[in-house]
Amino acid sequence: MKSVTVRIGEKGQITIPVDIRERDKLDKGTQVEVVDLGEGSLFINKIDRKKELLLAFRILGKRIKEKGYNKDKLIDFCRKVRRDVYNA
Amino acid sequence: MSTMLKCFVDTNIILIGALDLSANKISDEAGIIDIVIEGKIKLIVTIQLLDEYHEAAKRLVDKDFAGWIRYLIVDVSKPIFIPDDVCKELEPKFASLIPKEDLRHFVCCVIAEADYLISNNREFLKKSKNDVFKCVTPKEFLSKEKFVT
Repeated sequence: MKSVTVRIGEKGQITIPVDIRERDKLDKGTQVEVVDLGEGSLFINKIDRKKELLLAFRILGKRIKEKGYNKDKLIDFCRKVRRDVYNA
Repeated sequence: MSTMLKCFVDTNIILIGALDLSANKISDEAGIIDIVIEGKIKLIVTIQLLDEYHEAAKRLVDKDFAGWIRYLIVDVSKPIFIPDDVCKELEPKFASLIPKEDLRHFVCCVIAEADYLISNNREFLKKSKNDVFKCVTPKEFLSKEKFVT
């Protein structure tokens, strides 16, 4: 972990040091989220949709397991969803 | 011009893959999810397929989650989207061969000039068999195409 000091510009912009930008591929246009941790602490996180999607699949899988579905039951479940979506 | 394989990935692959991923189980379905996330194949989708992904996730988790995961699938995979009106024009040609609830999925593969239709639904695969694109299970797909995952 590394800490750097930067100064806030006129329009609230900050400059992330070039070595960090290059290492984390923070190119122009890359989306980041700024998380307000309170009491003057901010956390900047690069938005990674691939990681987010992987997390979503894991959450979905966990819920499927909790509901007791196995592979065969899921195939039947999907057939029913297909019929219902088609008939909707 | 992209040379990526164009694939229809059935809802059952998404759900079984998700189940296996959550259990850290290596499986063909989890492998398909991995190559989708990494952008190694081009998904073919219609509104009906996206609605199926959404409806399944809604029944299994909730509506907000379903919207989130559908958005992420589209955002990450940047799929080939086949509009309904385009599908409807071609559907009568195949209506006597393919079950009505599967027809849109089959037709979108024809229109997109798909390389593969991937499903675990044996009946769907059997009825969709044709000379234009391959209809395969995840296991068959991964044995035909080599991906480094």
